[in-house]
Amino acid sequence: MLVLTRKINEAVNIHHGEIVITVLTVEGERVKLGIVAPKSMSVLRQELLDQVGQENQSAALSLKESNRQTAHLRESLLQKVDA
Amino acid sequence: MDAILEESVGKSLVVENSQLRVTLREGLIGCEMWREFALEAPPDLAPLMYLHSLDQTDLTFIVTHPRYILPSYQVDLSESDKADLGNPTPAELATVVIVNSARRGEGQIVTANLLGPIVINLTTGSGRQIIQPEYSAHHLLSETPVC
Repeated sequence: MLVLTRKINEAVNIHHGEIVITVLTVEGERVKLGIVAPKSMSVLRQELLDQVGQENQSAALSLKESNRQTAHLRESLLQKVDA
Repeated sequence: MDAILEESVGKSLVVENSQLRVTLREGLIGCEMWREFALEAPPDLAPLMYLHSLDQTDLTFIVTHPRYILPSYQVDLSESDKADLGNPTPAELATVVIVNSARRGEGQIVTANLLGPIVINLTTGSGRQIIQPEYSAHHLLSETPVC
């Protein structure tokens, strides 16, 4: 990991200006960053990806477990739809 | 044997020979080694479907269309996502979300991952798991005590 120290209003230039990250404000522990990047690149808070990754791992089932669970899951889903 | 799943939006997801081959070029988020899948829609399981892993034997996910859970659910696809999927038309695009069941205390809690839907081009079988930040990874479907 490349570590740089920036002050408010200072920026980091990535790949010849294709991505520019600017420190906008600092309030206590919260740092507000401005990010300029091509629309083709997704820019996301890391914890969202971590949540989905963890959820994927947790939801993975063996065929035996999935057969056991489907009746119960189907009932939950149909109840929710009817509610 | 063809299995047809009627989606609440009026579009049918036709799964020929009971299975549609789905390839996630970048794999599932956080599980990038899982890229090749078979989507199976047995009629007696509807509205649930199976997303079977072809990379790992005996691994499967239970999925459903998100509009069964939240009729207002919208997927916001970027131009880059669309291009990656081969620029599908709206009719060619299907979305599924993974359903999860976990023990919580004495009971069982069933949730759907609306934060990380999987979008699929039905014509090419190409798919991608994307992030929709306005939704939850643990959208509650039911919470039941275990007797």
